[in-house]
Amino acid sequence: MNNIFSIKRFALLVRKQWLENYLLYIGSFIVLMAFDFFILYQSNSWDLNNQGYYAHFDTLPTFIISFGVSAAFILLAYFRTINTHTKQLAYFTQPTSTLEKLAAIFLFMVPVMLIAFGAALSISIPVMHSMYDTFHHTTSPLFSKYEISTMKEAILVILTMQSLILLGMHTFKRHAIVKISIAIIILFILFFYALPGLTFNWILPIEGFRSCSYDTIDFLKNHEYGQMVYKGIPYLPSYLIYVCWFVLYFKIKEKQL
Amino acid sequence: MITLNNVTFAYSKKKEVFSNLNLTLQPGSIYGLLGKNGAGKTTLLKMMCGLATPSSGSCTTLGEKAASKNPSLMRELFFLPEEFYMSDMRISKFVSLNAPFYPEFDIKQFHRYLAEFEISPDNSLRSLSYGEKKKVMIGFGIATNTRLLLFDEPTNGLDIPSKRLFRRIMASIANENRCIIISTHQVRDLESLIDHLLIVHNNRILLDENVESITQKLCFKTVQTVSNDKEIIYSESSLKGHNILLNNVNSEDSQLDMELLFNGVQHCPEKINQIFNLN
Repeated sequence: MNNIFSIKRFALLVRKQWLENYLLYIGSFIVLMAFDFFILYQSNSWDLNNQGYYAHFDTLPTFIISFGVSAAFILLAYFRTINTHTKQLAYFTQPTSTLEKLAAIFLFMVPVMLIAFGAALSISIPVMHSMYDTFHHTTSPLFSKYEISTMKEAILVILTMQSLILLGMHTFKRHAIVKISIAIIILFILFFYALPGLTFNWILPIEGFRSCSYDTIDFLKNHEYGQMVYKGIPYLPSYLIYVCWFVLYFKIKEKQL
Repeated sequence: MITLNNVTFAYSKKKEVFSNLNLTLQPGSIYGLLGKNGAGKTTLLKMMCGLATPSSGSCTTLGEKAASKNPSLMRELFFLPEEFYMSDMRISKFVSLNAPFYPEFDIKQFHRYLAEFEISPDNSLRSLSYGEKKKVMIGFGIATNTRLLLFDEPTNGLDIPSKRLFRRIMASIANENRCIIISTHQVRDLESLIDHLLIVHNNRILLDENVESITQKLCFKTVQTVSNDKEIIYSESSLKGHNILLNNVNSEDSQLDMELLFNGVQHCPEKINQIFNLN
């Protein structure tokens, strides 16, 4: 018998997870749609009332916030599956392998969430965008290059946060939320302050960051603007997401109740 | 069927639950697992289904390392914890979501048990009481037809007729290929059902004997006055007089009194060890 991965068992597990949580998933999608429309409508109204004060219809904050909201909803659905001892007993005595459990979590956390989030934005943004263009008699692209690059980074950052929270849920038995938050703050300090600081002999604290991304930090020091580009594996926090999912496999496998 | 070899288990450095525990459980028996609160009964059940891993030693269930929690192992065992979770859905939906994981699940058998417990499969689990939910879980667990059934306090929350029904159903499903382990404090509920006793006390198994052997070596009596008979191991007063536990040197027939035995084992473990040649 295949104890590593069986398509049949995986399909049964996905079906079970969907049917146990579908009301939450559908409800979350509706809330997300409403949220997108609300935020974009507010932004649009501001533009219209200020006679096009903004040069371009601003979708970036909506994108980032609604992506964060989607990730939070999907985490909440999973949290409901394992948030009590009795639920954990039911979950971990299911005759499914660790890889099947991990794959089912991943399926809902990443592809399903991205599809739902994408669908909500694909409906709301073009509608609001066309309203803006009609008012201003303009034809502007849906997203600028800057927006697309920032969106990619926002997706990476939020998926990393999501994987860290998932890992925390399986690591900490008590006060998981507090401990996860502390861990995220420590990691943030490590990646964006301590490692670059130690590597490039900066005297901490740096005066401030203008922006941070996965491989670039724009910083201010002695009132001068500079930029540092990470090179090499140890300085690429984007690897964190793979590390988290890898470690999560063993956390699920070795779960004690 | 289940082998624990030199198992040591601790939740923390201060709280060691088992120390060098050795135990072998065979198919064809209904084991009664007794012990005081916190003695480690639930931990032992969890170890058998891989939910707790020994800090040293090994636990093998159905020929596999229990901690692996492999699907090939998990589909051959059903663990009903004392406190359990059921999603808010109809019973029929609960079954359709969970039964496919168990290849030997028999839906007709499940419906028969539900009918005996007077529960409709169309009921919503949300509308059921704790006891009714437990009946659904017991019926489901038995209908999985797994080789190993682990029940933690199954009669808690059941009404009196349901306890009787539970005993009858359990007796009817016991066979030589199946091992049933029932952890309980309700010894009176299951006295007639259990055919092998395991008593856990102070990090170890104090008694691991089948009922036949126990009644051969020990005698259970109720008397009006307690004499100074040196064969008396333990006595306690009751409304009918005194219940006494004796060394059965005269090979008398008596009915096992599990509560008396349990209390006797707790109070005089050395004497019991001597009689059963335990270490």
